[in-house]
Amino acid sequence: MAAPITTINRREFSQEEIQEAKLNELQSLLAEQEQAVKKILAITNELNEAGILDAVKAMAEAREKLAGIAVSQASREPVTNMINHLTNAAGMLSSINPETTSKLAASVQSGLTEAELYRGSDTKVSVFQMLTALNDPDINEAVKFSLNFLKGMGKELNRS
Amino acid sequence: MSIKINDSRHDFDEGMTILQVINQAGIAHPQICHLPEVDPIETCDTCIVEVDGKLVRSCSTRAEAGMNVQLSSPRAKAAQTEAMDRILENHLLYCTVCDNNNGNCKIHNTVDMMEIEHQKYPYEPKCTKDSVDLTNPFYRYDPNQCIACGQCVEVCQNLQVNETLSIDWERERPIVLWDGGAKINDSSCVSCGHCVTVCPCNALMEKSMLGEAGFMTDLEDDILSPMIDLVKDVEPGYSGIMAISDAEAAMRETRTKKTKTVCTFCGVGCSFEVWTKDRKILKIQPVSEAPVNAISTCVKGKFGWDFINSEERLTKPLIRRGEAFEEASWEEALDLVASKLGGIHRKHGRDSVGLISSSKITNEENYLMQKLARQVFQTNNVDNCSRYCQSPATDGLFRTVGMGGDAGTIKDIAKAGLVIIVGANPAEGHPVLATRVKRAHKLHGQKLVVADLRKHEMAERSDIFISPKQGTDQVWLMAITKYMIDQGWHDEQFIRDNVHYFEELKEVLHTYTMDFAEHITGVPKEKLIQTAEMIRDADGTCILWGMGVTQNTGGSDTSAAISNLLLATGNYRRPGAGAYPLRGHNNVQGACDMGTLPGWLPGYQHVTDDAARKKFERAYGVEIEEKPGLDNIQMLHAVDQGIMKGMYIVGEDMALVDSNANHVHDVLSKLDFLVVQDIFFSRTARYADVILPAVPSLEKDGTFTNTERRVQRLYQALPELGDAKADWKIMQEIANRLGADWNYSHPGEIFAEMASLSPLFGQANYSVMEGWDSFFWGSLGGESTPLLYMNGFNFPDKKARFALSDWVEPAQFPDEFDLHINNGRMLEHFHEGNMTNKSDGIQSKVPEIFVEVSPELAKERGVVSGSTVRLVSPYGALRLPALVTDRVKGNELFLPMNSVEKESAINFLTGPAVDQRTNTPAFKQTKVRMEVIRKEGKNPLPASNPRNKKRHPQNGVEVERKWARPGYEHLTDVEKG
Repeated sequence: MAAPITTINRREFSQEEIQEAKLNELQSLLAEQEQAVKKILAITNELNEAGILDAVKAMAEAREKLAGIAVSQASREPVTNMINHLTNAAGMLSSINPETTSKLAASVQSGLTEAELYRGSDTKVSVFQMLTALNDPDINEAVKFSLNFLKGMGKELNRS
Repeated sequence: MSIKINDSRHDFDEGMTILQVINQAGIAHPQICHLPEVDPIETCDTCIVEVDGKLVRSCSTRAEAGMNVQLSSPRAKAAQTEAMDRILENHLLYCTVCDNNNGNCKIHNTVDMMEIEHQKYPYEPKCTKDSVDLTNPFYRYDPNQCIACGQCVEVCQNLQVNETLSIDWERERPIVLWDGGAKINDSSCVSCGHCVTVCPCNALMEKSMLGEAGFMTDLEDDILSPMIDLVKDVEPGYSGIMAISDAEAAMRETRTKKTKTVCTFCGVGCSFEVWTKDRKILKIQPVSEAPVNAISTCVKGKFGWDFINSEERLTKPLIRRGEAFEEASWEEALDLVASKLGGIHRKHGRDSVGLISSSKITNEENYLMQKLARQVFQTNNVDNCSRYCQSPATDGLFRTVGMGGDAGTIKDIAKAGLVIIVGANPAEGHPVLATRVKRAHKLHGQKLVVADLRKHEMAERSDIFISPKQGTDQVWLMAITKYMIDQGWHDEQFIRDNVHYFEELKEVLHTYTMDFAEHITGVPKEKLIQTAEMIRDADGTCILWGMGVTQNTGGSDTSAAISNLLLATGNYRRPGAGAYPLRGHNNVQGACDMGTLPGWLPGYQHVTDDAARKKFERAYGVEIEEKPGLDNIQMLHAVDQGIMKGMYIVGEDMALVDSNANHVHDVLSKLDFLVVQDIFFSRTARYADVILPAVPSLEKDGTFTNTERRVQRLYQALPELGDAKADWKIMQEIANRLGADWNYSHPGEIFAEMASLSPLFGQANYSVMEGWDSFFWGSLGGESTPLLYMNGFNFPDKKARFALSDWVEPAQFPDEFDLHINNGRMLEHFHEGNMTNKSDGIQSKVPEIFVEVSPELAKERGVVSGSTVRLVSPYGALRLPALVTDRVKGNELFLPMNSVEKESAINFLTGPAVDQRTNTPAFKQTKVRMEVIRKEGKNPLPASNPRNKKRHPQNGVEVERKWARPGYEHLTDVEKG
């Protein structure tokens, strides 16, 4: 004969028992993953000695504030301007044919070497010298490149 | 036939749209508002293509042989981009901090796919920030993120057909409205979740996702808003934003676990993904691949899973000691179960032990339950809860057509020319199945006849609603059969080829004239004749029935009368027709299929069938009794008589769900030893000596079989809670302690063993049911059989039999019991509610039980909504609040079954009458008298319950109204827009 009952005596564990059970669980985890745990401890030691843990701790504690500051700083107009500059600049660079830039960079470098070579001399350059210099095929190529560059830039400026 | 897409040839079938051909070919193409489950919505315009020089919507343009379709010609691209720009004007792309950024956001993915870098029209909010509607307990609507694509409206109006949502196209910036402008929680919304599931962005979101799904979505608004503004001010190209949010979504993928499961509530068998984060259920995500429901769900399947993590779950075995249950180790509990049940069995023999299985547990677990009975206890005393509901339907079908299952699938129901629903309310009991009838009826000309005591939603929608007197359905069914034969509207040829005993049937029908039917049922014969005409004219008739038929003294014979009518009119052996008993639990079909029945071995092989029995004897190494064992009801009698002394009850709250609960309580007290296995401390568990903690569907692998006979796999989504264990593991432990040598390590092995012994499942195994695939039992050859009887009926001569039975009169009550009390399910709660009552959201919609009283009766007795009444039957009494509603009429009361309290649960009123053939209690044949205890009180149905609201039907999303907006510029070249 079983009368209906509604009481359930849950086994109440004492604080010590709960703690012991948890410790046992941790102990077996530690034993299983001994190598990894040792490495992590070594890393945390390094981080601590370098003072990085203190900084991370402080940042974690102040995370809400920091996020707020970061976002409000980032939203100021100069900063959004800067970000827009950066993204635009990045966009410009990415749209230029890399072959052109590498050629241009090589030319600039060669120009610099050449210029460096004659830097000491204090001879003035006369108008006539400049005009005759245009006959030099290397100088002529550079001037042609510059003129065409200016033309293209002007076109775009006119467009907008 | 073929068309050219981007200059390569693609074949298509007649009737396909261009978009369907594109998708079939696996070509990526934008289609924000495309939903395969409904007709083309045509609001988003992103799917525009150029066909022979003309811009058209690919979603609504039929493919025609020879078409030349360009997906990305300059004009097509320009139209798609303009369409997307118009969308982005309404939606802010803060994907990385959005809870919908889970790799499946349609807007995000379309922006990505179209490689959109900037938008033409800047985003402008449509409403103030506080217009986000958070009133519904389960989901929110943020109009400022809504792109007004109308998918939510289309599914609400034309798939779920609850008809609550609309788009206010005439508004300056269109948004979605509930009941034309009410707060969501104050509308006719039934929280089915369709709208949330189809929303292509985060405008409609499950509340359980908010602040949980992402790594950075739980930010306070004072940080979130500036962050979003920052992104806007910086104006990077979208590819940059997309890359970051894609990376974040990939991180989420590693944390959010997505598991396919099969719903554990009703018998429709919806499947979906459950998204979890540790033990937290983030959401239920339905998918188009789900074979029964696709994207459809009801409030329980979508939102009713709080019980899984309920504090009330049993997590430790409990043993009765004196006046209390005490927690015990598994070893101790199982040893005690084995020694006690084993001891009783040894001492008192096979009749002294009985096992009751559950329609909530898996097929594999049911199989083991019957194996435990037959192999270990060598008894056929095993039964399941179908005894309380479905056995009469199964019996009626076995007698007439030979298989105890639905004739076809949910697709046949949707396809039928006429659906007749008898004694069932699928809109509440089988909501997703009901949506298919509602859709076919609203859009596709399907006719609907409803026979029920109550004027429920399906009755309101029906073409003909008849309300026969309780217990008289068999009479009108027989009268219609007779009338149709007399008129020559029966299918003579079909009968000649397929059915025995036609002449005998005509004799039985002799007295069932239309006049007799009108006299007995109270239904005007004109309505019955109209119904007969509808059957005659319909291209296929499906008859759906439920407990209003089966839980009667003539439940089996009425079920057989339904089958007779279908046979006489040739409504078997063809698509879109047949008999559909609506199985109530997720696995009530499976429990029976697996042989937790006193007379049936797995796969419907009868214990009296020598060959079948011998096969199991060889497999189990024991002798199996050649006569059926005791059913639930008989087991209780045996306990009462002192013959049965020990019981093992799994997942069945017998003390609540059996008729005449007061008597059941007395009987359970008499047992020497009772083991109850459950996930909650049920009423039955109070009588137990040992309680074993089991796990719900989300915590185990296995299969469920739905009402269509479709077997589907569920995969473990969560670990077992606490020390609770999967039922099959517990059964195995018990069996092995009693000398069995079971070594199952996965349910797949159990299924394989079952299939090897059951021809019906011969070709079924876990790999054919992988993922979203499924298997229909239905042929002795063991192949998957969606439509039964195509090769003849399940008798040796392939012929069906007309059942020859007269009407069984309902149970009689003394005159003082002047009111009939009906009972049934409510949409929000499952069954008696022990799972759904753990959900705060559901409880807020339906917090308590009540009895429905008709306005006439209320007036006569001075009852108002909120009055406390006492209901007294010859078997018990209840005390509960009343709700006055015209869903019931005259002297008929309705008591929903969502109560686990003695004060208000129906079965403390029901009596001992049973179905003549199956012993199923005649729950529906109960009469009471009513006393008013207190007149005034709080209305038990909160104002926020959708039953208090009026629906707002319209013709889907009504995109023409969008096209008619002043200033709307068409992006297509075709006239209509």
